Amino acid sequence: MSRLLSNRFKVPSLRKSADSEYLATILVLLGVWIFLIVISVINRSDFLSRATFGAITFNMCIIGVLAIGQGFVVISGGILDLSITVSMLISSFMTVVFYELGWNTPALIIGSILCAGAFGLFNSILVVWLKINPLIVTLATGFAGGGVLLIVFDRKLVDPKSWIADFGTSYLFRFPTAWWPMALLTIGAHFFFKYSRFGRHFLAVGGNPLSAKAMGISLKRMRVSTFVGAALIGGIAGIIFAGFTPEIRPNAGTYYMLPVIAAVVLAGFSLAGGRGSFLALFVSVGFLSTIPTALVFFGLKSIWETFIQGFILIIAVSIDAYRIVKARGR
Amino acid sequence: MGGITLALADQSGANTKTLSHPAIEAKDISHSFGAVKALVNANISVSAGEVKAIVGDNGAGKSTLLKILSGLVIPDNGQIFLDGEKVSFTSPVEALKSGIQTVYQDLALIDTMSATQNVFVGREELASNWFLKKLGIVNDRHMHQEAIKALSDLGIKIPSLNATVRSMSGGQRQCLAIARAMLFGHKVIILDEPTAALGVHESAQVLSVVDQLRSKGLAILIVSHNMQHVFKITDSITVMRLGVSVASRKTKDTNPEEIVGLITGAISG
Amino acid sequence: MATNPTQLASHDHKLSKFEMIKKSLSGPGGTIVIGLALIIGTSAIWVGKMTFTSFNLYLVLGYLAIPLIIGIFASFSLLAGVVDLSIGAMVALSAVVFAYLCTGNVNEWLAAAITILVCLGFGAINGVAIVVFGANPIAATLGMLVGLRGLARIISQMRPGTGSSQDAISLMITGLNNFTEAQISFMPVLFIIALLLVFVTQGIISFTRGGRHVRAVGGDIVAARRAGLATERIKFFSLLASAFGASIGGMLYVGKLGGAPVTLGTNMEFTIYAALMIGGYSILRGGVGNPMGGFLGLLIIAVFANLVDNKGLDTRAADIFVGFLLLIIVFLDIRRGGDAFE
Repeated sequence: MSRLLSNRFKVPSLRKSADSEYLATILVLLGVWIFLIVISVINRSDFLSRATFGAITFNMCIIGVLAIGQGFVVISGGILDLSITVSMLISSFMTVVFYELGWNTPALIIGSILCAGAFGLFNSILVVWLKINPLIVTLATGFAGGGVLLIVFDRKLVDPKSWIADFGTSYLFRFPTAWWPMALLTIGAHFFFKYSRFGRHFLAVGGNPLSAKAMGISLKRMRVSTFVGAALIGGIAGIIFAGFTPEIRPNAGTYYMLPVIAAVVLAGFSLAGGRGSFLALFVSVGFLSTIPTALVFFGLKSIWETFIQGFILIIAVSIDAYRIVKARGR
Repeated sequence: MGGITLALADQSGANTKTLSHPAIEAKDISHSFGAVKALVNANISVSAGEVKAIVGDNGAGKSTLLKILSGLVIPDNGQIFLDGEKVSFTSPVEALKSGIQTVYQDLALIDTMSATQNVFVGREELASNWFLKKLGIVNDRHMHQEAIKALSDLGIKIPSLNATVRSMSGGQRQCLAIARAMLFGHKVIILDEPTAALGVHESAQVLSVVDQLRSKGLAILIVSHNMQHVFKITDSITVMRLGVSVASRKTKDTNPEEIVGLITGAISG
Repeated sequence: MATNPTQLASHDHKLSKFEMIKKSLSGPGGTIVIGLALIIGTSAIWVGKMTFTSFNLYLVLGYLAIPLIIGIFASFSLLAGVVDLSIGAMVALSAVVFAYLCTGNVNEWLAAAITILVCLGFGAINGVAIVVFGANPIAATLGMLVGLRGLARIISQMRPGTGSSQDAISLMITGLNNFTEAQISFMPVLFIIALLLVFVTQGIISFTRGGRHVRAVGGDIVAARRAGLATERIKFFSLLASAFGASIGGMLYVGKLGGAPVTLGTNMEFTIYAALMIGGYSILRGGVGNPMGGFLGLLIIAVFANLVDNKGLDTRAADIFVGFLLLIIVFLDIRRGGDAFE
């Protein structure tokens, strides 16, 4: 039976090789993650507890959603969206504004996400019609956007008795309620890119824009969809963020920027586009979200977190690049 | 023309040698990439003042041979002689230093720099003043004059040597790359598909530059798929097939039908 | 052949003065000059005479001096085609390390030497990741940015009780402070030094062999390698140069501010690279740009920041301005034939 299965999977040789490559990444990441958990448990056996589990899964919520948005941009050849945290914050602020206006829940959610999407549309207009490189566009709009948010909103308190705060602190099926959108998005993104035609188009545009264009895929449409899509996903993260934090500040985004990019790079997404697995992304988000909690158990202050994350990113991109060079120079 | 040839040959002190030895000779070169035998006992030689073409189908081993001669690939077996002296290159820089210049298809021009700067990149002349030399100050005026001289020698017209090469046409870029090779290649110039991406007029321009190079006594090796150009410019042709140099012919003693037959294997060398 | 550029060039002499001015203003230099004139004009109208007082000029140029020094060193890595996003965090690290050592009774000169070495060490890590392993410069130096921010905070907290706040080491080095505040007429000495550095760098990249090689590596690394240049070494040293500039900048800030706040240099990499890009550099490809342009770009930003300050507006307004200015400049560059995206 097993031989039959393996034979069946051998037939589409191209897909198998790509999948096995992702599988290797996933297994390595899982190994590192488990290793981290094991040494933390050896260090202090009370690491395996309900509180730790809660802390890690809460960490995963926002980083995970933003990483899916970022992964979406990277895999589609948009390089990076350095303004994705601004999308998030726009949505967070609007969530509170709409709540204060007394909007009902579905309208509030859709409205906030659409506001973030409008920002993404602005990005994509600069990319597609002014033909400015997305990295420069999102660097500039991310920077300017932070300033605009500060001037327009300054800061906003989230009503602790609101359903928004409730959503951020409650549990559903043993996981934080806010964890589920992330999990569903991960599965959705995985199937979207693997099996849907539209998803394939994104992969094609990311892998080789010119040949994708030659095959009749509209580059403009794909680029607009990429940046609007990423901003919409950022908008989802924004609602979760509003649930987590008592007070929304325009500079809150800086904390998330790096772990998000680190997660995408660690998951083996190629910054050149066209390559990446959202299941691996889930594992790398889990690994990165475990680090802060593990640090506490090792008696290190939380300030070590950014230091360690930074160097993990450098090591990860170095190993990744070295692997590619070696594979090519073989 | 003959006078120039003689003068150049005298300068290199090789005029006596060239009579007995080819400028460059590769003997019994073999090379494998894993299980793939790219070259099997391939031979080639080019004399000073000769233009030789290497022709062959894709995968015949032309580009591997070319890479070996320019030091990019180190052969598994075989010997390379320059003016009858045995040499072995471990890097492209060593081949460059021994006077072998290769012009690749991508030309290796730096788009953001001017024509003069491109010609002299990596070999900038420094100011003659002792102090400025210590500071590494370059002598732009002299380099500019040298470049103008070299280009007009070859009959190349490039409007402004101070404009970035980005704005130049394909033919101008190709000529510029060849002129650069000539300025620093004392013995051998290898051209990889010099007319592949060019129009009729520009190809003619490049071929006339090659003709000029021959009259200066350089040994020139051309890899080309274009039979018409090969017959127009070369003195001799070496045909490669499946990693073996199957035949060498004087251009004037052969015809395109025979060469195509040799390439495809319809005629055995 | 009407398009023969030699003919065009000879035709140039016959252009009227007006046309010549128009032609030069449509170039990159023109954009900068127009931009600068506009912003100074706006300031003059909006703020009034205060714009041109010598004290105000001193403020603008003083604001500009240290970022200019950092930016000039960082421009080498842009020129070589390896953007170093970690310079802002490197400034913070340098300041914190220097202040930490000085408050620990280490001789100031020795402390400065150690600080420079530490920064060069981290610059070398950037270099190893990017040059030896071939990591993407943006991703690798972004990692360095966050890592160094964390490290600056860690070191800062190892010096408890020295500052009024947890997030800064305060320390007044009188000599250094006097040096950073010194002025000749309305010109801060530091600014004069920075300007000299601009001229020297301009000379290096225009007229020296080394400068040519850096430009060649940034312009086309394959071509540079074929020409026999030590491309790897050049990239590595350009990253060391940007780390060196940041370490100097950090220590100067300690002198100027009388302490080392860990948030020092936040977003500075953005401001500096925006200024350099206004001056024709690119963070996406090397081989282009010139230091004079970078200086004028930084001047535009400094004048605007001064305007915002004089009007008592929120300082983040300057960020918005810089963001949009960057987009406009890059757009104009693309219109003139610069690299467009797709």
